[in-house]
Amino acid sequence: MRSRILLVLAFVCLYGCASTGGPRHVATVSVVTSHGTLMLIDATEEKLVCDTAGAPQAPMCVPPATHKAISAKLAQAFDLDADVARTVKAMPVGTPTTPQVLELLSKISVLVSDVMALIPQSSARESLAVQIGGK
Amino acid sequence: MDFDKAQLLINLAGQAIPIASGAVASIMQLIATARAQAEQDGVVFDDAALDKVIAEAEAAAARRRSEADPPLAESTD
Repeated sequence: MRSRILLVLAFVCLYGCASTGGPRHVATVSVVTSHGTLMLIDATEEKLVCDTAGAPQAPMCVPPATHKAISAKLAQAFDLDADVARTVKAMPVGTPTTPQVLELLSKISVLVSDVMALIPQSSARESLAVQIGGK
Repeated sequence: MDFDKAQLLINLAGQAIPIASGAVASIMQLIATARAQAEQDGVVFDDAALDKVIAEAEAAAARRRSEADPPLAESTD
């Protein structure tokens, strides 16, 4: 999934550079896209925790211990999410995207893959994977 | 451009990954149009979007940190 997300981000960057705004605007779109993915995973996983109203039955629900592990990874991912947004916001208009932006997005992508690997198989997880373009 | 329109475009951009194969061009065009309108209106579209990301990410990080075990320390960077 990581490679696919990076591929999409690269595509967005390449397309954006050719058609709209400058690097800062293109980086903004990449950050917003990455953030949207995290928010979707966050909201979906919360609904899958065992004993939550509407959650699937075991073994398809997320056990409490796994939920805590996922929360730790998502906390890191959201910290990076805020960091990359601050980094892009600090970029002067017209300057090239810094390697730091791509590095932060790459780290988020790794954490997304880790989180997806922790979520048990279910129709909701499958739907989530389709929505974010992963497995 | 008012903030509701910016919100709509942020939401659209948030969907860029799942529909990347067919609709990125449309999304980029929408954002380009909004960006041009924002500049005309004297509003910095990118900054509004990034501020929203920062606020949401900080809130979500704090919430997830409180759900993690053991509790994680606040980020120091």
